Amino acid sequence: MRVLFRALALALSLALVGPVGTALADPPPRRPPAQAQTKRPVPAGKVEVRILAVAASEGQAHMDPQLRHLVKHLAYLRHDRYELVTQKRGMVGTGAGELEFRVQDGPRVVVNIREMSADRAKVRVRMFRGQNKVVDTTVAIQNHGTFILAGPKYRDGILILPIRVDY
Amino acid sequence: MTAQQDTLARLDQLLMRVLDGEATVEERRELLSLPDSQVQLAELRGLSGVLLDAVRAAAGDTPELADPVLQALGRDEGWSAISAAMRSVVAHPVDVADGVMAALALADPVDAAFSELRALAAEPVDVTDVVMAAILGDAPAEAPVAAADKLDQATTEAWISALHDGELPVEERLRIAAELPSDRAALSELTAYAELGRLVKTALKARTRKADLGPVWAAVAEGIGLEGPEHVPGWEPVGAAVRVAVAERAAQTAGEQIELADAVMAALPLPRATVAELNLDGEPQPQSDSASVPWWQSMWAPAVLMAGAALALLLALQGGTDVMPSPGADPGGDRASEEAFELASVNDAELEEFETADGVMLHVLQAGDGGPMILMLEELPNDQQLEDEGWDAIEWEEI
Repeated sequence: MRVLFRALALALSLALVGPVGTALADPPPRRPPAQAQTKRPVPAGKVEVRILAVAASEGQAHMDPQLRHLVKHLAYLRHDRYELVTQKRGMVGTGAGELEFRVQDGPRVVVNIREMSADRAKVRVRMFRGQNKVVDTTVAIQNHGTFILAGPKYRDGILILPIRVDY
Repeated sequence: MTAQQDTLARLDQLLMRVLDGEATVEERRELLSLPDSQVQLAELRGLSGVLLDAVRAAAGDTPELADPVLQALGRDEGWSAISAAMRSVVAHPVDVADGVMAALALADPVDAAFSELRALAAEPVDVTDVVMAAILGDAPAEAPVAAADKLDQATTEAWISALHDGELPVEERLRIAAELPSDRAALSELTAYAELGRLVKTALKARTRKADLGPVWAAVAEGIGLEGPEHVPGWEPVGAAVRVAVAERAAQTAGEQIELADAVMAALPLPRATVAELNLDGEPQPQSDSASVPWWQSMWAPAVLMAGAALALLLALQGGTDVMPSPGADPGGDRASEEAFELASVNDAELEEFETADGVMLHVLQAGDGGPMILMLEELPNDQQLEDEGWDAIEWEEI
């Protein structure tokens, strides 16, 4: 926390002296345009589930560029390094079938859709470590919404699983 | 070829002959007279006077800094300006003054001359210019008796003294100059002293530069109607803010930085977050907003949010997410897509049910900005781990 406080203080200081620094420094490099999104159509009655596996740990600050849209929210979890380990996307129907998501040297996650309405889908997520179930939870979430399951120990930190549903 | 170029070419030729010790007396006379014959060089004398006035005015209350400059510029002959102009105009970098000095080297043993020149060099005065001024200066038509006495004694000290004091007539100086090139040792030593003079000149210029820039701008600022040399219309509020910010930043210790952060955080709106302890007796339970929250969790959530706010602010101020590619990232495998994982602006979600294993707690974090709900698992250490960490098992008894 002290580190972040110092970062905040530094950020504020930089903001205050920004006009000078900006005038003297080279302009920031132009960011590349956002990658075009090619959304696949989701068949009726199906839900597309996308899961990321993010390893969070302490050490030299690092943020995987593929996590750029999650930076703000991952920061709540108070780690220095965020690295995308793997990601997966799959389709699953309501009440039938399930998606299994394995993280190497980490837990196994199983996702299925319990119910789906016009504005919400109830997503059941089970996480297993070996044969032991760590958590079993159901989240009702809006279309195109994301929630994050985080906390299981992974490598020298924790594992973070952002889960998005589209239907 | 223009007249000026002719003059310079001739000047160059004469210098080469003088430096080689081959110049005749007539050629030496011609060399010494060339600066005066060149109109543009002669005009530099006027420029020298202007510069003299400017330095004197700019030096103001720091005469100790201006004195050496004034001494150098105060020579009526303006040899500094002339020699500098000659050096800059002549195509190849021939140091005219030093070359002339070397060519006019003393023929006699120079031990005494060393001490004399060393004394001169110890002061911030250009040795070369002093000697040249002595050679070319306004000399009496006839040598005074004292000077004649010195020459009669024919000691090096007397020569240097008479030369330096400008007591010798021009004819006598030229006669001495004609005899000097035969003494190669003296030539070498005086060349070394000429180098010393150049170093002194360099140092002098550095001091002068420090001394006169500010006052000159102050005078200009006043002259063009500004309220002060630091006044820029419209800059006052920005400048004041920057001054304060920079001063604070410069003065901050680590502790002060934290205090500042605390003060800033205290001024920010409180985060709208709900934290619920959702344990956990193994049975699925609905989320309860009224669940009691331990004190450390109530501290933890705002702390996390503050940390997030700090990082978000930092990133926002940096104009985006400056992220580095992950060096060890797996590019393939079960990665389903290279599409960026984007978030909707609103991510409404509710926790319907949950069940956790023993020793696992679940915390729900919901930021008030439409961000995704975070289900945070906390894996508590079991008894074996506690024992491994040095905690003794505690057995409670009923009261």
